Order: sequence, then C-alpha cells, then structure tokens
Amino acid sequence: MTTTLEKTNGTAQPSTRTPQYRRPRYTVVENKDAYELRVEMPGVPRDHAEVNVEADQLVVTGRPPAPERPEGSRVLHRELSTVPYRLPLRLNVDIDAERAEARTENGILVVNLPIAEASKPRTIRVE
Amino acid sequence: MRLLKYEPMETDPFRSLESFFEPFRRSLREGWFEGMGSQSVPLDVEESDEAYEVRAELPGFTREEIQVELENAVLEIHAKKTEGGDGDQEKVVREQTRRLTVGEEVDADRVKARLNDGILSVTLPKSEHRKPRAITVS
Repeated sequence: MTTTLEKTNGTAQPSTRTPQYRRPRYTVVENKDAYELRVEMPGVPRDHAEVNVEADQLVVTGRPPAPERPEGSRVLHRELSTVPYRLPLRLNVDIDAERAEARTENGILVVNLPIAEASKPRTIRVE
Repeated sequence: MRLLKYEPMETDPFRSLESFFEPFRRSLREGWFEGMGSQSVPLDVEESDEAYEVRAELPGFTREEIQVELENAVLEIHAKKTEGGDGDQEKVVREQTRRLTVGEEVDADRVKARLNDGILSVTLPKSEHRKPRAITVS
C-alpha cells in the first residue's frame, strides 16, 4: 500500500487494493504422536499447494488456478477469489519435519506433523 | 425461517421473452437466497450462449454429502456433513445451503454437476429454443 512497502517488495506489480494473500480457515488437532493441521483451500489442486517448515515457522501456501472459462462467456456474479492463500504458523513444539506428510481432501490440505521424540511427554519410572 | 420470494402467477399473456431471464438476474442482484440456520455457499455465476455455469466453494465435503436440486427454476445446493452414524446418534457438524433462481430457460434434464478440489461446478444448459441463433437471409 505504501510506497516504502512497494519498494521493499521489489516486484513490478502496480499498486492495487487486492491483497497479495488471504489467510485460509484452519483447524489443528493434537494427537498422541502428531498434530493434524487441516487448511481450507478450495480450488487449490495438490500441485498448487506448498508446505514449508523452517525453524519454528510453518508456512502453508496455495494458489488457486484461474478457472477455465468457455470462450465468449461473461461473468454474472463473482464471489470466489483467486487471491493466493498463505498461512504462517509459529510452532511451539518441536516437530519432525522429515516425517511430515501432506495430502489434499476435497479442497482441504491435511498436514500431518509428527511430534519430535525429544518433545514427547515421557513417564519417568521411580527407581 | 427462510425468506423466499415467489413470482405471482402468470397474468400477462404478452409477457416478453426477456422477462424469463429476469428472475435469475434479480436473484443475483438482491442476494436474498441465503438460508438461515446453515451457512451460505460462496459462488460465481457465468453465462455463455450455451449455458449458465455456477461454481460453488464447498471445501471438505464429499460427493455423497452434496445435493444439487433444480425445482421450479430454483437451483438449490445443499451440503451436510454428519458424524456418529445413523439414527439418533447422528450429529450435523456442518451444513451449508444456497438457493438461486435460474429462470425457466434452463434445460433441467441436461444439468450436470461435478466436484473438484472442494469446488462444485454446475452446468445449466439453456433450452434449445431459447438460445440466440443467427438466421440466414435467403
């Protein structure tokens, strides 16, 4: 929006009011060995979604492709957005990024984040 | 409670053909079609010479959980997710509904719907006799 921001951005995009990203809805379920993160990104196929883990930051991004439109068709009504999704999350538990898995289920990106062995609660036997 | 507007019965036998298209356009303009009690369904509508194309966002629903109905020129998209099996144990965890008037020029027999990555696409072909056509001057 501001000139400074555009400069630091470095991208040659003209100033528009369209935000660069939108935050998708999501839920996190904690299981014994892993967290399950479910991110709603309707219209985003598997190959347009990305999950990145770096240090204690997890970032999910998804780019909905422009819908195919038959030639000569015109828009009567528009509510769906094509602005990419971006969800940055701070991880407060060590996760085993190597074993993390992601899949898509009807427009929901499901990310399985195994809890690192070191972070698991453990019972200490009294000798 | 639902707020639905009904067209009064046809009284003018000379109503122009154009007015067939009007309910559809008006329903989009006024946005009255949302059901209460369940969430709405965001959608796009496009029109070509051949058909209307509706694209609706329904993330997380399977094909079996989505119902598409066309009755009296009203298209209803209804999605319901339940858990806990059948009968008394069944609990609705998510329900979304949207209705829109599509006008009578739609060929109800050829309406098609498909689901891809959480987007429901409904194609509503126009009836043959309502399509614009070029007439060759002989």
